[in-house]
Order: sequence, then structure tokens, then C-alpha cells
Amino acid sequence: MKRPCYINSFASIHPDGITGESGMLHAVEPDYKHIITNANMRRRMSHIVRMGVACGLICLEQSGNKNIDAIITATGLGCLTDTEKFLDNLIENEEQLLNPSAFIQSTFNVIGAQIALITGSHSYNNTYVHRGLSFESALIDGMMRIWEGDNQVLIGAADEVLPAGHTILKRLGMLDNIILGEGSQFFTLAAEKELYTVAELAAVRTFTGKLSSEEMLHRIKIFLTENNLKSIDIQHLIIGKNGNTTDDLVYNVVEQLFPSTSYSTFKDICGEYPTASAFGMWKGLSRLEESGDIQYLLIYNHYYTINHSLILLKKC
Amino acid sequence: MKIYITGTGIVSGIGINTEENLYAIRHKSHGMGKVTLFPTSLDVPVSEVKYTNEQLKELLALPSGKTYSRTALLGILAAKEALSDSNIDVKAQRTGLISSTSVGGMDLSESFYADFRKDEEKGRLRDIVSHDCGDSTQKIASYLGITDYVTTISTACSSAGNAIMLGARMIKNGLLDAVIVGGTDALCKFTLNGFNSLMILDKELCKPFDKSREGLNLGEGAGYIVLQAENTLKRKPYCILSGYSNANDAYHQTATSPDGDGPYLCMKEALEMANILPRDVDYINVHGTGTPNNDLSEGKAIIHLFGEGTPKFSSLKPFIGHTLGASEGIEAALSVLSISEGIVYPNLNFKKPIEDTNLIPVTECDEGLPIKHVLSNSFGFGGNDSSLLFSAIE
Repeated sequence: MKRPCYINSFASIHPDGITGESGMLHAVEPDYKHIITNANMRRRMSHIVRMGVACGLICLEQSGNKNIDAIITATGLGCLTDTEKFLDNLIENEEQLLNPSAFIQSTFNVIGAQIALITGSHSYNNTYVHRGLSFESALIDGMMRIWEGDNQVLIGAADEVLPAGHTILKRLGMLDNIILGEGSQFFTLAAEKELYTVAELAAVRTFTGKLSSEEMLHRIKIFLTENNLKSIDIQHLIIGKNGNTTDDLVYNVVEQLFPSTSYSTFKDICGEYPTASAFGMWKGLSRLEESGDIQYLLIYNHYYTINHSLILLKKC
Repeated sequence: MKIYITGTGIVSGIGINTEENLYAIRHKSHGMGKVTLFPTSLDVPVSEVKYTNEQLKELLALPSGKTYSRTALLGILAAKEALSDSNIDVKAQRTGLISSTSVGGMDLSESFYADFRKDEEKGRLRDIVSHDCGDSTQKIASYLGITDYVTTISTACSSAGNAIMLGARMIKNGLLDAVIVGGTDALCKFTLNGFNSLMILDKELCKPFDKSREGLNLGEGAGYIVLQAENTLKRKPYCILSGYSNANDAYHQTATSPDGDGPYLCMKEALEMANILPRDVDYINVHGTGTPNNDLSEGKAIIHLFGEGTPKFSSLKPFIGHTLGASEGIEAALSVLSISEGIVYPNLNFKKPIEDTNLIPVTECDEGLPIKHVLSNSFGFGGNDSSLLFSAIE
């Protein structure tokens, strides 16, 4: 049964928009000691896993309800540091006497699995790895879990930026005016609204394949109609502009559909990466928390013009 | 709401379509052999798909000059068979694709990386663009013309079980009408060495549920089934997906709890969803990797749930190896056929039962059986456990 899906808490570990020497945006990390208290576990975790697990635990702490019916995570590229480490080890040692730690920690579902271990959760656990739509896939799964009767679902995304990835994308010509970034955001979706609940996750939609600006515009109009809204009903629009002229074209067209709507960007803070839209959603929620006059907020993002997504938030 | 299964597609070391796979199983012919796909110093049996990438491209009429990861090629071949078996036109209803993989395009990226790490200007770029897990899914979607919901799941060895579950839920929640679900994984140096470093590869043929089992054999392949809502059927369905569950063992990153808590929980919940009793289950396609840890825990979970009345069960992994992200795709397809063909499959290489459980798998092919309910298990790293229950249409 379709029923409202509230967002009862949201947490983020993200860059501060200041590009490091390497031309990448790195997340500003908290002191993990007090969040991931098991020192052995913490030591084994790579950068992305630490970021993801800590962010998930912070988010859960904020929700006030410790019971989770599902843990759903998303990552575009997974645990790159450990993947690289294991490959290096494999090549250098010519396949002999390899340390399994990096292999174990390179599995895509490791963040969700570690959160389950730490919280002792035997519940539903799933991980999405579909490029620029990984996070949105997790959201859709989470919404369905709420419709199916779950009370609280923990959902989050994480991706890490590495020099190797930067070099490869540069060689591929994919970094024209684009700054790479990273980060992790987690959210609790819930069936019941709390006094402090900021927003409802009203709808999520994903599209794949090359779409012209007109086709995308058409899809946004259908999306609004399906949700019984007109473009004028959206008081704030968050768009995934990344500074690249080709990538940003479609955003310029979409903005025209919302002439009276204020808008903001987010990749200037977090950089470009497959699950950056999770930071977009976090920013949207922060915005709704601060501002009293926004009823509906729409997040439109695309990843290299192939993966497009719409996330609609409704203020509670 | 019933979820109908209308198509199967299987590519494995024992055949590149469903018919070839069934034929090999009926003739107890396994797919194990030496590694030929890449140079390696590891001497362990693996089940390779017996076609080169060029041959696969030719079969699929893909341009030979274009680079595809092996994961994508295996996936396209199996998904194409499943779709064509279902008789549906992807444009006639909302049709999705949910695919899973554990390593994505690693078969190409590991060769890129060997050059790249020596000199960052080196390494063929066309070998790295398919690195991410979403690549193979996108390639399958564009080959089949699927433009509705497309996504990729990766929960290690239970990945395809979760893809199948998600597909069923999307139909039940009214988000899709038909969906191709399953998984694909190609063998690569990364995975082979990963499992070797964990010391869970058997140097001989794997012996699931045998007292002297020493580990698993890896395999590669792809397996998909087509799920549909009743109003879109274009053929008589094989059976229905009547129950499913995903639970977490929450015990250890790579090992299963001694009593198989997660496995027990997901099998139990799958039965509860279908509202049947343990004694109603006719056959279990077990995860049965052949590692000392998995088979003991899974066996204990089975005894916990079924008690004295353990149904017939067997592991297909001695035929096709552990195909990781593809494993439950292939095994779900074979579980579906177990119902429609009334067949239970032999568990090769079994001699003596594990003392603690004393469970004896099916060792010969048995046909013409009235099979109503088949349970299929897959358990993965991270404690990710899933069970699917397929049932005959009454």
C-alpha cells in the first residue's frame, strides 16, 4: 500500500568546496573514534567504508529510533582504495601469499554489511551499484519497504575519490571544467512522522540513456503531473550543475520550466561523483529545515547525461 | 498478486542456453577445467564458458571492433534468451531490467591496471570504461531495447537473489509490469586470487555437503528469468515466485554463523510469505559452495527449519562452479525448471555426509516428480542471505 514516507533524520560527511592540491574535493572527516568505537574494526576500514559506516551510525543516532527494518546502501564505484590495493598486491607478489583483507573490504556491500554487524541487524540488507542512479535505486527500494510495512529504513550512499580515478577520467576527457569529489550521506525513511520531521520523500524517478533537453523537459512535466503538481508549485529547485558546458546545457533548459522558482546547486561543494545526488538531497533537506516558505522542493541531477533522476521532497 | 515466471536464460560452463545446461546436468557432465582465460600461476579447477569474447560477439552480432567486458557479453547472451523465451515485446508494457554482478568489468580493468600502474599514461582506455558494475547492465538494456527502470545490485554471492526479489516487489508495488532479473559475472584474476587468498578454493573438484569437502571452485556465467504480472502474459508461465526473503547473518564479514542464523531466517521467511509449511517443500537448491563453513552452517539451518523431514536437496556448483553474482540467476532458472520439468538435480562428488548434520543430497538425476515447491538459497559476504521460493501454478 502506498503511504507517506517520511525522512526522519539525515547526515552527511562531505567536502567543503575547497579544492585540494590534487584538483579534487576531499570530504572533511569527523573524528571517527567516537562514532566507530571498535578500534580493530575501524583500523581495517578504508576511507570510503569509514565515511559510510560513520555517516550511517550518525544518521541512526539522530533518528531517535534504534530499530531498523532495512539497511540499503549505494555506491557508484565502491571501495576503490582496497580494489587498487589488492590489485597491486596481486601483481607485486605474483599471485602468491596475498593478504585477503583488501579483497574482503573491496566488496561493494561492505558498508551495509558493517552497519548490520555493528548494530546487530538481521534485517533486509541490499546494495545498489548503478552509476549515477545507485542512490536513487536505493531510495526507490526504501520507499517500497515503507509501503510494504517497514517502520524505519536506513538508506545511504558513499563514493571516494582517488588520484588514479582522477587521472583516468582526465585521460578520457571527462574532466573538462569538472572537479571530482566524494562523500557519504545517510537518511532514515520512516512510516511515522515525528515532531522534528522535516520532510516527506514524495517521489523518486530515474531515467537512463542519452536524452535531449526537450525529452528531459517532457519527462519532468509528466513527473509533475503524476504528482498532481504544476511547475509553479515547486518553490525551490536544486540542480546538479558541474561546470561543464555540455553537461550543464540541460539544466539551463530545465530552469526555464520554473521561471518563478528559486534554485541552487550543490556540486560546487561536494564535487562530481556517481552518488553526488545524495548530497543534493541532504542539501535539500537542510534548506527545508531552514526555510519556512518552501512546500515542494525538486532535485534534478544527471550523471554525464546518461543517468537522470528526479527527487521530490515535500515539507512536513 | 501472483508473480509469474515466463522465461529462462542460462549461460555457464556447461552450455550457453537453457537446453544445453539441462542436457549436461542430465548427463552428469560438469564444466570444470584449467584456467584458460588469462595467465595465472594458480592451479585450481574453474568452470569457464567455452567461448572467447570474439565468439560471443559473433553469436550476438555485435561489432568485433567494439570492446565489451566479458561480464557484459555473458549477460547479454543469457538475458536475450530469457526475454525471447517469455515472448514479450519490451515496448508492450513497462519492462525493467535488474541485473547483478560482483566484479563488473574487472576482467578488462585488471589488464588496464597492470599497464597503468607502471605508467599513468599507459593502459588502453577502452578497457577501463566498463569497470563499474552498472556498465554490463546498461549494455544488456541497450541491446534488448529496455528503457524503463534499469538498475544493478551487488551483494556478493547473493546478488542475483536480491535482483529477483526487487523485480517481484516492483511488480507488486505497481512500478513495473514485466522485468528481466538475474546476474552475470566473468571469471577474472582479481576474484580468483581473492578467493585463493581466503584459502577457500578446493584444488580438486568441489564436494558440497561431503565430509571431506575442502572449498569451492569458481565459475562464470549469467542467468536471468523473466517475471511478469498476469495481465501481460504472452505464454503459459513455468511457475510463480511465491516467496522470498533477504536477511542478514550479522556475524562476520566473510563467514556464516555456526548455526546459520541468517540462512535459517531467510528460508523461514520465504516459506511464511507463501504461507506453506516446511513439509510442503519438495526440493531445495542449496547454496552448497563446498566450503567447510558454508555447508555446515547451511546444513544446520536446514535441520533447524525442516527437522527430520528434510526435503530432497542438492548443490549445482559441482557442475558450474560458484558463479558469484550470477549464481542465483542461473540457479533460480534451474529451480524454475525443476518445477516445470519435475526434475531434481544430482549433487556431484558426494561420498560421505558431514557428521554433525548427516544430510545426504540427491546424487542422481530424478525425473517425472510432482514438484510443487522449490526453495533456492544464496548467501554472500557481508552476511547477505537470500532465499527464493518457486511454486507450481495450481
